[in-house]
Amino acid sequence: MSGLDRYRRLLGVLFSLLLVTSLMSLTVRERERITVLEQAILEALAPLQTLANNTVVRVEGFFRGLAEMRVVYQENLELRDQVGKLKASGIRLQELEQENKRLRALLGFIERGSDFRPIPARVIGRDPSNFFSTILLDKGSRNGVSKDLPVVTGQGLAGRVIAVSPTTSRVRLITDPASAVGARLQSSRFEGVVEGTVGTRGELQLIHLSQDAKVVTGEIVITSGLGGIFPSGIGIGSVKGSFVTRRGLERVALVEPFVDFQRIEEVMVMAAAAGPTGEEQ
Amino acid sequence: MRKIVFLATLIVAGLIIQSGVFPLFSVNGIKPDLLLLLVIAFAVQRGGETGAVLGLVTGLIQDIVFGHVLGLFAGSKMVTGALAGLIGRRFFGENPLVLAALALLATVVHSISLLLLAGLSGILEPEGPRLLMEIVLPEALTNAVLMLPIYYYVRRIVRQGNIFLPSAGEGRFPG
Repeated sequence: MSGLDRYRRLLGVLFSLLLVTSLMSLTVRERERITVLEQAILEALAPLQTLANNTVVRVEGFFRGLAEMRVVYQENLELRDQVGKLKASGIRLQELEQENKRLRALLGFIERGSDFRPIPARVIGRDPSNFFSTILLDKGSRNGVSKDLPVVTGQGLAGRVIAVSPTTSRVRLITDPASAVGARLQSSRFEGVVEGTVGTRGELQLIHLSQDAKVVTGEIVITSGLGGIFPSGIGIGSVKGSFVTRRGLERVALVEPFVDFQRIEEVMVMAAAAGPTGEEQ
Repeated sequence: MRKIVFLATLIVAGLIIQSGVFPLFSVNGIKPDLLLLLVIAFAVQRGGETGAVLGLVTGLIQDIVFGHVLGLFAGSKMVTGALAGLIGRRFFGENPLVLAALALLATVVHSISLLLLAGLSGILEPEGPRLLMEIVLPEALTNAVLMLPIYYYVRRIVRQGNIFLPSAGEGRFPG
């Protein structure tokens, strides 16, 4: 290798390192807006991702359907039998009442209603890395989506919008290690912050609980509304255990999220009621 | 121009498969890193400089599309591409086991550099041993299995000469 080559390579290495460190220092804090270049790349890739995602979901659904047909048939028979029994004993009515109560608690913010307008959106991409949890949606600023809006599914809280382009938006899921949501235990009303964790367990941690907080396994965790981004009363998950931190100052509850983040396909972005319509497309 | 479009198409296809297909078929939440495998395969064929530049570009696109701190995946993939090129060209033969071992090692290097960068920028708290067992090793094993078909595909298109690859005239790997 000639001296000139070596010099050129050294310059290349230095330039690359400078580029990476500069980009990181410029973007390490959450930004109000993404750049035009980022927006252009997102917009260009969105139709391809939508197409690929729709195809894969259909193919996967078809094969899953085939594989589960026998099980579903068996389940169907059992359920018919069960429904008959429930009808006879009147338990079904009681079950529905309980389910109704639970869903009202989970989606209490919708009951209160007029403050939010749901914008339905499809997931067109999932974070390819194993360390972070973000998703891409097929709705953007043209549909009324804006930064910091909460995102929910029928099961509970999914995350919040962190960046928007005209036709797509990026959502940080509550399982992402950078996510923090003000939360409370539904029965005991103790408050804390739900954080995502890195790893495959997909569990959340409710931190900053006082050391003497009563944490019962199975108790439901809901948003507290503190922090101003998420409305209060959205279901997050259920407690599956707790421990006191090493210094003994606070208790941490382990929370199993209600949402199945592996299979999340459709979500609702909760826009303010007085925004543009969510059905432009 | 046609060669550059082919390279861009390959990277975009890799990203779409990785973000649209792999998550649906992940095992215990672990997905292989197709973009990283492409970077390693090109690096082995064409050397560290090609690996570094491709790593930088693919990582940057990944950062942009999935909203990470810009430079996080760009930096880690660049370092991994450069090392894979240097090590791969020196020690690699047409032995599938060595190739799988290279993918395993490169994935570990990629994860460690990613965690270091994420730790330095305050995104992740250091949880080394747990993450190593829970994420890094399973991903490395998955990548090692997928490395062979990716490598042979990349070797074919590099030999056909239909793709643009940044390099300092290091030439093709003789194997």
